Amino acid sequence: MRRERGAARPGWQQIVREQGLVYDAPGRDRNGLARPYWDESVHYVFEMDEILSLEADVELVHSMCLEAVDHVVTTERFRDFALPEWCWEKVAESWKRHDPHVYGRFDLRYDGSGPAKLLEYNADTPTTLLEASILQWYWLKDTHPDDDQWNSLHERLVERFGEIKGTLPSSEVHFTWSGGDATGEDHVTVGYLQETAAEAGLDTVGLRIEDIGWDVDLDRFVDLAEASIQSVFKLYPWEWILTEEFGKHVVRSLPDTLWLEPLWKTILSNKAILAILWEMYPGHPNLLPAYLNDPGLLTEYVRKPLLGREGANVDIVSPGSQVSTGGVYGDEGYVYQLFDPLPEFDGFRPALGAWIVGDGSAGLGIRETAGLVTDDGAAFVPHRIPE
Amino acid sequence: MSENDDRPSPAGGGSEPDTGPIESVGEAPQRGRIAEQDASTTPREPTLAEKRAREQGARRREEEAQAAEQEARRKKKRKRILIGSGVAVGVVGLIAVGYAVSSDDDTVEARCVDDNNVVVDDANCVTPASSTSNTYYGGGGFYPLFIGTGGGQYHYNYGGSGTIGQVARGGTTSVPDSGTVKTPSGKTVSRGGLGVSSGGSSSGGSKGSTGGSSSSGGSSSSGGSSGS
Repeated sequence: MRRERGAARPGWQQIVREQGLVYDAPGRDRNGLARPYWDESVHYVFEMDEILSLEADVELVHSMCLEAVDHVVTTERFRDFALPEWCWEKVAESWKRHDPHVYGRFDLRYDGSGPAKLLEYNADTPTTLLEASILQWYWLKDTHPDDDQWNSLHERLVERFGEIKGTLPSSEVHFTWSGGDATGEDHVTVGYLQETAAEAGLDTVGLRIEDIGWDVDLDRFVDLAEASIQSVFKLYPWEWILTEEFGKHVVRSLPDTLWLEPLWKTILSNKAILAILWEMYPGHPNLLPAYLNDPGLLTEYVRKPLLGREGANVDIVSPGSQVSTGGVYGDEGYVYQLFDPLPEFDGFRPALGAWIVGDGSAGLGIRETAGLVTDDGAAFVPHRIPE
Repeated sequence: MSENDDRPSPAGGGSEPDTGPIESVGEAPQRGRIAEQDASTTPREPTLAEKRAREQGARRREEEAQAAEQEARRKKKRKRILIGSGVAVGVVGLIAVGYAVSSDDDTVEARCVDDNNVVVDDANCVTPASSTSNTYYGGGGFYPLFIGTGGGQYHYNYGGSGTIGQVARGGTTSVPDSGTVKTPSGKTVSRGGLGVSSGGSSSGGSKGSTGGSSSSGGSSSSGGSSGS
């Protein structure tokens, strides 16, 4: 694994914009100066054997995560996840029923030597999908046409939607995003997923999640055409849905109306899972020690809110560095994870986003920060595997 | 030495020589058979155990070959060619355009349009705005897709431009963010119970007159923000 510089394609801004990257709020460099969110002036180079071992690690961690969900459901440890009590049974049912799942993204610490370490798992509403699947692929074709890339996201998504098609209550799936996101990121991501689903033969309808209607008389969800909604893809966190006005309708509607990602992913998308994993697989090479509620024996640790997003409300406590990011998360509790700083390449720190589609590894996206926390100031940089 | 160490013990320390087949003890060694095999040799009949083992071996090889083939296919998939040369195939590009134009489009006006997107008198807008499928919302301005709508449909276009008789350009058909909306058929549908109410520069539905799937031309029948 190494970091290389290269000339950006002439007119790259136009190119990536046409490919859908309209949500390009700039990242930040070491001096806090703006840096393009999509930064193709640098990229990472991996050897195939590194990728193969990462792939194996990712699939192993994924299977451990599924074991962990089963453990949480079986032992009813929902309280550790700060889940409202009224939904516990429904979460368990969703798991026992094998409600289908589509995709997720592991954030890994990896420096080319030694095993990848799981930092967290974005199992419910992962983004940076278009960058990983489309943008960097076309960058590769334009700049290193003979090289390879860890990237079968598009094919795997089409394949996955095809696989779960038969398990959905309807052949029509409503794809929803929040209109509250004015950047377009959520909408574009959902639009892209919608395309892969359509390619798999599903009929799709796109609408804002705010436009989902609840038909009181008929006791069902309806779209803007007032047609019944039976299968919904939502790029909207479960923990938010559960506290909103329709939350109880959503949970009660299961499984007649099926929601993707499934309700059982509330367990995986919650950082308490990091502590559960460490408890179940102590000393596992792909895990970092992690504990609920207090740092335990850790002297250098990262404190993460159970339900935080985009690196918000993260505290790093270590002799060398004292970092705190602001934000609105944390009421629900914290997990304490051993502080294992992201490796540094030319003054930047990459975090690997490894994609799982269905149960198989499907690709890689890299976000780079100047600081220790991969937050909304991160830039996305492509990668290649030399032939 | 452990008991299950079955290597021959070095040197002749053992009192019981266990050097050869039992039957050879005390007799001249029996002469072994000398056979030759040539092209005319035919395989002997395999034993039952051999037959079984061979079948299992064959099955295993086949499985291995299949797995290898699957793995190769999976690997190859990394090298892929997306269908079509224009990447972000239809929808993503369309959505992106909506957001690209949205930044400089802050005020939103509503116009009643027909299914050809021609602006008509407001009084025509009696069907729910939402009856158009294939409509995509942008962050503020937007390009709705009017594909395959039934004939004679009128709906609101928010944020577009054009006067009566002209084709409306731009705009969206989004409906109120929240509130209870009474539809022509009298059903009670509440919306906005999920998500975040859009603020600032987001979609047209939250701006100007509401309407959306309201009952008749321009009159906003959507109540306050409370829902079900």
